[in-house]
Amino acid sequence: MIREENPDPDQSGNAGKRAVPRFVPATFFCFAAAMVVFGALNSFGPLDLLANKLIMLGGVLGVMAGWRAANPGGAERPSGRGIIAMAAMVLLATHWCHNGTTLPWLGVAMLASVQWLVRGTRGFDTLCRVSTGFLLLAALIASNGVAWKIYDCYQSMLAAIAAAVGSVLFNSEVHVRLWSDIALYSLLVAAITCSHLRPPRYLLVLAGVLLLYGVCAAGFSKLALQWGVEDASYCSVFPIAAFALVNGCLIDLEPKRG
Amino acid sequence: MKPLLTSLKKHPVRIAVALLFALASLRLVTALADSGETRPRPGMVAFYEGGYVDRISPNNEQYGGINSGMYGMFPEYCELLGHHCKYLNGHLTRDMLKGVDVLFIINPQTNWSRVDLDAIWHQVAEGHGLVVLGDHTDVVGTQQSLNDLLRPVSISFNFDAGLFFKHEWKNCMWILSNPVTRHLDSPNSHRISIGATLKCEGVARPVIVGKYGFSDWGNRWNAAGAYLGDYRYNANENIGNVPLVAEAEYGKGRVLVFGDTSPFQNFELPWNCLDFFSDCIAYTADPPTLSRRLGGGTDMVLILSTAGLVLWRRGRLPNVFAGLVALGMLAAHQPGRNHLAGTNISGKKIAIVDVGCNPRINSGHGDDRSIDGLFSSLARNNYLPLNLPSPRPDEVTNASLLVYMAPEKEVPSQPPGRAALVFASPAERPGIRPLLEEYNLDITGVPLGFATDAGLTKKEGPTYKNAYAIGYLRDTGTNDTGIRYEILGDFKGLPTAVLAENGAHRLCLVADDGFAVDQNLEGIFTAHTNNIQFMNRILNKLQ
Repeated sequence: MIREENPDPDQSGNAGKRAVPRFVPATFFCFAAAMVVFGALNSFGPLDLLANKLIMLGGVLGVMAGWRAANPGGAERPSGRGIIAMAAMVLLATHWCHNGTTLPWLGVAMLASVQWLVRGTRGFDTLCRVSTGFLLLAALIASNGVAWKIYDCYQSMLAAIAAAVGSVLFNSEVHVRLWSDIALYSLLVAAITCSHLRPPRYLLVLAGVLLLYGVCAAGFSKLALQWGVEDASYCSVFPIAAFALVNGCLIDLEPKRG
Repeated sequence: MKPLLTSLKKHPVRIAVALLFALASLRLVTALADSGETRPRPGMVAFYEGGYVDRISPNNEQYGGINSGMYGMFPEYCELLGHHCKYLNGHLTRDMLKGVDVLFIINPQTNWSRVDLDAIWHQVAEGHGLVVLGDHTDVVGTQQSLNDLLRPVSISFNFDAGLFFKHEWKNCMWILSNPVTRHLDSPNSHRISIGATLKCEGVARPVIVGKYGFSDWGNRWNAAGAYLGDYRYNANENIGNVPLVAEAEYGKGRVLVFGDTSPFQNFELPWNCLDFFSDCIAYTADPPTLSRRLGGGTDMVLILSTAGLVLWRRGRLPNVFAGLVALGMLAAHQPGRNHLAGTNISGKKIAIVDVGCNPRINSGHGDDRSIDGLFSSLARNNYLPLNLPSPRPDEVTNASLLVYMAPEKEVPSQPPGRAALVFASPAERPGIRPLLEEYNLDITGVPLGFATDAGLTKKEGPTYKNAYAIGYLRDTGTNDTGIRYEILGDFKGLPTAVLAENGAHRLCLVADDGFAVDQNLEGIFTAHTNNIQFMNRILNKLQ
């Protein structure tokens, strides 16, 4: 755990207390933020659009609740216009988000309002940066041939990791390319939150995220073989939860900026 | 010049932000200008016949979807968009392709000669379009031909079938940002079903990806089952993010490749003609010009600058900027349907089925909510059907016949000179009351249920699914409005289908909201002959 040097850096009156967000609310943050982002990108699997909208709205409420839980007596609170802007952006995002269409423009604007909503709080700040970066990458991949090629290579690397994990854990061949976006999101969280670590540790964290992907993908493959693909796909929430847990740990490790 | 340079040195960030604002404003204005309906440039579309394709349309010789052909109506829908269409046969030469804007090659079974390939790729390199459609598991022996053809752009067909996690790819697609996909805003509006997955290498990139789909390997021994596999995911099959549609640039032109032939077949074109089909032709016909590339580059600069501002700058400025960009993008992402090019297409009149008036109507095939049979009946009777949700006034003006199936929403008043065909029961009376009042018609609450003329009256007549009796004022002798009525169908003397004529207006009311669904009319493998002939009679009367 990285300790604060300034006992009360944000003048919140929480001097002496451990820096927020703490592990459990941080995990909750990550889960809720992932729900907003992946709900916007319709990455939850073959859920209908209404379910995706509900997931996104649930995610927004979760972010609010998580923020409050992680900031007892905190100085910064969501402003009314911030909440309105956020709600408007979410509605617009769901309007655009038909049939899995990736429309990251609105995500960028949505995250701008998140940034507007709460600034400076460690978890939020990181998630805003990660989500913006992720949506930016999604935009590039969706509209640029070269970016797609790079993404395809990245997916091949993930598939190779999943295949290796599958052969070790389940003794079966696996060719899975699902949730490569979720893994990318977590890699960005790891890249930002652990940037203060020395290279061997830093690489170890990134490798851990990739290994987690391998376990999730190979596990999904096993489920899909047993239950069929449609039923198994509803378990998309579990990899998101697993990555949120890891992201929560990573955010808790991040030193306070400023 | 000097003061400008001085201020540039003094306030570089401010000037950069001002330039970005100018760029964003320009993007917003151009996006708003582009957001309306579009009228594609008329061009020549060529349809190559050297493959597993046909020119059959729904006809009166054979009924049932299976006998209604695949591409017979392709030229008419091209014409509907303002394009000309011609067929090409045999080996292709550069001369044959002169004047062709977009070449469609579907399920080719040709052993391409050097001359063929030279003609095709020279055409593309000169700035024209090529659209290639193939199918799953080398089903009609096209895989080799397709892969040989597409070698210059590094796209190849796998020997497999791309299967979805959920029926008809509902919420399972990843539709990448592309002018071709700008209208794909509702589930299955692309009309892609089961086709091969594509391998994209080199310059190629996917346009539509089966995010929640998998590659079901084909089985060479399963000739009876179209070489399809076991429809199940097996451990050695690729799962997730399988490319279904791909594109590539070659020289000055573009190539668009579909792993499935469904999207542009007879039964699908009424659904996607004015958006996806039209966009595919327009996109491939227009060469990727420098200004278009710069337009795409502008978008990229905007994404980067928005993200940069949001991340690194505080204050109101980044939010205003992000809002501006979002507004511009919102406007840009809501294009209207493309325009119809005329009213009379190869001697056929346009019939619009208002699928927006009843959300229960679906775009499937052969069930109690799909309307392929209605499409076939319209096509048989010299109509060119379009299934449109909430048709625009200009579309209605171009149409000769408007069809409403069990309308749950209010039906708009009938424009002069247009005929209307309504299938309804008393439950839908609120939606059609104004229309019925124009003709002094009403649907009574007398349920006739499953009624068949043929069984009871010993005559060849239709079989209703859920019929009601129609009331009209001629019976009471109060009709002095000049409306002429003709009973087209009855059950035990109670009218179930009535044609009413009021000057130039004509309305046919069938008091059975389920009469024209596939289950009662015509499915893929089924055909209710009496009902089809009854529909022919009705549509003839409405001509």
